[in-house]
Amino acid sequence: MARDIVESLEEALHGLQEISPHVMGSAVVTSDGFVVASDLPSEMDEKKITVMAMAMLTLAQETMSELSASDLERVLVESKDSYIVLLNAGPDAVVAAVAEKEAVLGLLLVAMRQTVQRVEGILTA
Amino acid sequence: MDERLNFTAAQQQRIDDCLNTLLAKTRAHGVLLADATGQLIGKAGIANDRKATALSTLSAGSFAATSEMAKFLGRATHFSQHFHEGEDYGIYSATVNPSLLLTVTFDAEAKLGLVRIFTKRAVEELERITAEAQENQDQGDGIDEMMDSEFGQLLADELDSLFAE
Repeated sequence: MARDIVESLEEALHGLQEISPHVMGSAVVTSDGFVVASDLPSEMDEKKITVMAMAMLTLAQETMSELSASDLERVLVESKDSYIVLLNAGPDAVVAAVAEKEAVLGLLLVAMRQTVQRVEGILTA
Repeated sequence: MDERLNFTAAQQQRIDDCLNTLLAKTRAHGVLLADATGQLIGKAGIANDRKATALSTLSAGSFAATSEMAKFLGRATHFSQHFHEGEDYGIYSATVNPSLLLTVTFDAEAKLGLVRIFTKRAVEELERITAEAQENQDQGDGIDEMMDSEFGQLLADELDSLFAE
């Protein structure tokens, strides 16, 4: 059963890359920064990436709670040549993805929402 | 909750199911549920009883030591999670309530994130079961007290009425 969960999550993350080919890597992490599953290129350090992603998410959540009462929808970081997107996947997990700037942002977000739904389904099954 | 909780057979079965599910979902080596003294309540994945008892006792000792540290730091409450990370093995413990400790042992194959998510869910289920057991026990205590206080008097009254004739 365990192998199924991790493999299913990795499959869902790999599916994201198939839907949106400009995605360079993605991961499912707990809301406090521990890796649940990942589909990252070998040059990316899994632990470092997830901890940095969680630092961004925590900062964004704190900022949102200071500024308004509404819940955080997503975190989007845009650089000259890439995007980093974080989306909540239920109360315990977050899906993080790094994509090239060539990705169409709207399509990337749709693909990520689909992945989030799959991840939520796997974790609650 | 100082006295040891007694679980019904159905509750014990739910505990065993919960531990087995946690074991299966996390790729862990073993899962133990023990009280604060290290007495085992349930286990999954560790066939050797002596090993399981030794591990639960050590885990309870570690928990007691950190609880004392919390007191030194001026905290009234204990630490709710412990995580020991080795090169090849990890041990993750979470408190179900102040007197019950759930311990998960795993190797590098297991993902810590997955262990944390499913341990949290197992703790929620175990909290429900222990709350039910506590409620049953409280009701039982109430009946015992009633029996203690009233039974003697009722018996004496019955005997009096029997021999009065």
